[in-house]
Amino acid sequence: MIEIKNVSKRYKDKIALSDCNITIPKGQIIGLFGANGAGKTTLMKCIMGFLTFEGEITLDGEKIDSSNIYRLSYATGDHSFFPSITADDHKLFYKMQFPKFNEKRYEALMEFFELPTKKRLSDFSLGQQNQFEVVLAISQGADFVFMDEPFAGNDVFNREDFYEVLMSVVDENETVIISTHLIEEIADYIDRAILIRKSEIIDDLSVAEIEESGRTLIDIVKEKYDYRADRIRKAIGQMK
Amino acid sequence: MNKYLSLVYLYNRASCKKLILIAAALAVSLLAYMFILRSLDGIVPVVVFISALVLGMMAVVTSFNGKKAVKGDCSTTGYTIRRLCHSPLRSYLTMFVYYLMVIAIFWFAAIASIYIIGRLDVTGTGATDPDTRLALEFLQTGIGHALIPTSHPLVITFDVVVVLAFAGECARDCYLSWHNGTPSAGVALIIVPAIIVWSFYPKNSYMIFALLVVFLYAALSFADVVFREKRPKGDPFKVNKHDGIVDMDSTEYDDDVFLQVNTSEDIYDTSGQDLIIERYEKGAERIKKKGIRRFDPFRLRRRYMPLGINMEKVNAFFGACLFIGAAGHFVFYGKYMLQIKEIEAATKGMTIDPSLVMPYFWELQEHSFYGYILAVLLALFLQAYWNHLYYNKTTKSVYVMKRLPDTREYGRTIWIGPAVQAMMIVVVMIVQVLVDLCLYIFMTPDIALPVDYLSHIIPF
Repeated sequence: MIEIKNVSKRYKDKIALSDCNITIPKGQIIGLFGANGAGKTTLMKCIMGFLTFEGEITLDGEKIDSSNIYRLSYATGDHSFFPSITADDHKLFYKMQFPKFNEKRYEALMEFFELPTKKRLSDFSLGQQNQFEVVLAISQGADFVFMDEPFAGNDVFNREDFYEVLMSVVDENETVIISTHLIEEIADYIDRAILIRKSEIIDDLSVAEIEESGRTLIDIVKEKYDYRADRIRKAIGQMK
Repeated sequence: MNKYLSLVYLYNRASCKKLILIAAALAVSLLAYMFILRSLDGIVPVVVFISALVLGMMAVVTSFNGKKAVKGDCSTTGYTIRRLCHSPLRSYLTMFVYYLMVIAIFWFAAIASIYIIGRLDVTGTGATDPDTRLALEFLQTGIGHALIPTSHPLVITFDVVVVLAFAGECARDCYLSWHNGTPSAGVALIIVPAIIVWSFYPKNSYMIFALLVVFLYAALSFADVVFREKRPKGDPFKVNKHDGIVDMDSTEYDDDVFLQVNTSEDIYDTSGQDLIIERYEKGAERIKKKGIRRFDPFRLRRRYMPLGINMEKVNAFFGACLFIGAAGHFVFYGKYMLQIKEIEAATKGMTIDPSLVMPYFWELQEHSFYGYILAVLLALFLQAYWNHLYYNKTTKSVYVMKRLPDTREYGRTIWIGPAVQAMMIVVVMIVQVLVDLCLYIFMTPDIALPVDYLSHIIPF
């Protein structure tokens, strides 16, 4: 279980995260939603230890550091792979470095997405690169898989395929945290939704709570973010 | 005109911060040189000076590179330049003129201020304020004389060639950054010989050699740009394919082009034959039984260079460092040959003028290690810096490297490869000194060797 207690992060004068408190237990698929600049990526990077922060983040009661960081994996839209080597090279690297690397899962996902194994990653299309990034993260053998906008650039069919595969391959001990803007697409696949707005966690809803409210996730998000449909009409009116 | 200015903006993204950084780097290097020479003796000031210089140069190169090393930026710049209807060659020339102007402004401002302050007080008896004293001190150094090109026509020629080469290399750096996201190390390769010559020009006769080296390098650098433009299939971009940049001319790629990079197979010996370091299960057991079978520094260097790094560039830089070291050591051969000529001229039968006896070996070696010191520092620190950039800017693989169960792997792959390179340079230096020693002992006429020459082979 990951516990995030009173975590804050500042970039010079800008507050990126403000007093965040969340608990992430094992075996959930969690959606992390928020507008651009809300603090989703910063939160993930703080958990991974890539950024310094105030507060405390623990993994099963222990501080996350070099001794247990391998229990987390991270797929990012920035791509953390090595672009000038092949997929096979990555497999060898992960096998050598991560003791729990799940080769069977890796092979199955590579075959499912029809990704070339002998081609350099820089020769992949953007969609293929995203898929490969996610394949590596899921196959690493981590207990907690963080995904930060992993599907930017993938078509809708591709994304649907991915959600289905994700549901079927992730086992009960694995937790997946997906940060994305594609709320409607992912709503049916998640167990829980965490909403971030202007550096603060404004809501943390389970699927049961959403169902009980009788509304859809997107409606809740619109309400929480003070979405105003008349804003568009007003802007168009000003432009004409 | 706007088109050209747009180009400069796109490439350089000039800012006050960069210009201040450049000025500060140069000023710190020069001041360090002045003060250290005054306060220390022996090899220490040289090592400190060169370290300061290397750091200064790294700051300059970085400031010129800006953010172009980020592949997204390069790709975007490439597209935009195309839309401005600039050919790559024209964009290179535009940047050349831009950098020439920047360097000229800086240079002339520096020379003018030093010269004016110096002239005002050279004849005066006062010169009490610290600024004036500083300027006068500066004028006494080799760099001061060389920067103010009134002393010798050769110095003026050298300075002009260096400025042109420096501007050309900066422009090429922009050009390469756009094309394949890998900035050139050439700026450092121009600055290093220039600083060496400026520092020692009153004492040596190698300025023509240095002039030729810089001139030839600049010519090769320019030829490289032109050559890239004349590749078949209209393809100055094809290397992009192998360096992670999505390019607009993807249909024109030549699949025969292959960029040599460090692969997992290069790093992890899967054959199980040549494992050096006790790291992984299979190899660890065998090594425990048999011990380390063979120490191979080349394999060790490759093992600890970052995965996927462009080994062609790494090897070229290593070669350049070796060249700098070996070239600097030619001071010994120059001194030795001059002395031999004088001895031969003074030898009459079996007697020789006692004042013309061959100096001790270590005296001849004096000043011949600066090139190697510089080479070791560059091979270690600059390569380590580039490895760091590779993980953090060129790629975002730092996100993987910092999550590895073997937590030291990230640091190791930044430092050990460069450290092995530096060690190799030291080995080459030792071999070269041994060759020098053989030359000294066996080629010098016995009559000219000092009686106790064997006891002065090492400096202590």
